[in-house]
Amino acid sequence: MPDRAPAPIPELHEVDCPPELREHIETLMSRYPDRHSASIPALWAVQKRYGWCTPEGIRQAAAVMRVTPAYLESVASFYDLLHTQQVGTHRVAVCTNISCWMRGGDGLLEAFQAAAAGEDVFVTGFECLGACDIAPMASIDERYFGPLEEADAAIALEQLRSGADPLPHKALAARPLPGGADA
Amino acid sequence: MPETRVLLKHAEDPQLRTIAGYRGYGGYSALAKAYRKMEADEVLKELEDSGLRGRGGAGFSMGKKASFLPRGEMDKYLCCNADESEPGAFKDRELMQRNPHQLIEGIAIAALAAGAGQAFIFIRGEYDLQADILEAAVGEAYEAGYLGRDILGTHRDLELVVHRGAGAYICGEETALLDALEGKRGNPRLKPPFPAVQGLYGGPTLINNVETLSNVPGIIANGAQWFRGFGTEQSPGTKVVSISGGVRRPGNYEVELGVPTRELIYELAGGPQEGREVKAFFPGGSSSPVLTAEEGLDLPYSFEAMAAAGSMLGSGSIIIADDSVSIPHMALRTARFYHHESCGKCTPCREGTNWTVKMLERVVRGEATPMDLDIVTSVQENIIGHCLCVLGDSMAMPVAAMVKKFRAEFEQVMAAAGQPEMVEA
Repeated sequence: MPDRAPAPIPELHEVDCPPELREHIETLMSRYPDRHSASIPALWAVQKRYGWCTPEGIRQAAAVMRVTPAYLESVASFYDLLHTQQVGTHRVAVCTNISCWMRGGDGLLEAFQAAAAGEDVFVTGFECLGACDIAPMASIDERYFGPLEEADAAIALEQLRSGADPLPHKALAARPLPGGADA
Repeated sequence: MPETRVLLKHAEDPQLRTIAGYRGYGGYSALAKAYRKMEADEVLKELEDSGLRGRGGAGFSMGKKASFLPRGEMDKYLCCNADESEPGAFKDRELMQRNPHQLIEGIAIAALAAGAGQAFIFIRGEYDLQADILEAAVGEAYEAGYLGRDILGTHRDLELVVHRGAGAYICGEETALLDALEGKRGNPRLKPPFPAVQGLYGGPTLINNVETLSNVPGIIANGAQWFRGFGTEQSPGTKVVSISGGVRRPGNYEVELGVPTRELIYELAGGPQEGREVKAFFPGGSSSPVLTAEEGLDLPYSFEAMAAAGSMLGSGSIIIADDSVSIPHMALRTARFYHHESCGKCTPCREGTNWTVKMLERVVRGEATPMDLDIVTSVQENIIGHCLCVLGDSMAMPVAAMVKKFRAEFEQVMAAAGQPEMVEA
């Protein structure tokens, strides 16, 4: 029976956790009354470092947090933004929910899929991203852009390839209020 | 119709998101007033008197909710629900991005009223830009002495942490939010006990939406009566309304509650595109039963008017379906969202959303019979009121309304998809 026991909490010396990652996760743990609260932030930290929640990265975070890797895997697998499989260097999430669907979200997703074919870019349809005002829209490397046309997909991919900021003139961050300045 | 900007006042000024910019417009004076000159009970009373209703969807009195927390010295918590994820809603994103300090000030005052020493902003992980802005603003507020130990020398403390979610609509449900914040999968809890009694880490917890808390500084600075000067008797205040879908100028518009819905849609948002007409709309996000144009356009935009019409104001998010939109396809889109986001903990929601999607797929493929529409309706009836949380209801209410109000169109879609004999049968 011994080999059927659940994986225990790994010891720090068993996991070779980079010191910066360990320190970062420990800082996160210190913000909460209960260290378990740091699980999502710690998984974000793992994903940021390795590009996705790698099994080894999860073991490292588990060792720092003194929880089992299975515990962190159970958390990671619940959330759409935490990837338990390898994804690309860049991430594109195209909203296909109601308001974006009405304004061409499905076509935009297809355009991004076509533009990214064979590239190291992870393209996925996504449920409402909370930016129906710029429908149809996409989140590119966690920043919002819209309203987009299908032709923007190839342009954005080219910009990502060359290391430029994608679609700067369509960034949500630079968008004014629809009603303009105060009357 | 002009906007009535209170929460979004000066929001076009990029400096507003800095503490200097915010203070330049009088920011943090309400916090100073509350912390230096008011007792917790006085703050609570002002909030109750203002009649401020929760802006996250339920519309419950904010002051009353805060008063449910037990008194006395113990570990109490405040959670700001910034997990805005309901299709159609994007107002909290705007408020956090443009005026983060207004929210922080509101949190600090609400924490004082509730006796909470630790607060969290649970923000959806997708809002990366807004979370960065909030973190910077929280850092500034700590440095200025508005957060942390001994706030403004008053011997009162408050710690505030910005906590990023990781992509799950269900975490906007308040007890799922608590589980997620405790580091677990975001599954809702059975209520009661309600969070006000047993919430985060088992302690009494006040959970309020971003827009609700953003209203607090104004109420404390200007008084409950000032706040009641906006809106209607039962829906005081202004509301940031997210308008999207088939309109020319989608976006966030701040208006007094009770304004005519038609003016919101036609004047502020520009009305439908050239040659199109409003066919139906969700008045309060994708969870609200759709209203046809005839039913809804001439109603005042208030909690009470939408409830009387059999729908709800919800989060204050209007999604317009113009006459080019196929309602059965919109019903399927809606159901797919809830199916994807169902946490799976309770059966009526897990199975109900799954079956609804499958049946609606059959409808649009032309593989359904008219009897199936009755089954769809009956499934919705068996979901409503039978789930651990409101996610299941949030699909069942709009889907049931669409089938009921647009039944002929469902039958037409089934026929057009290739099996007219089934419709005639």
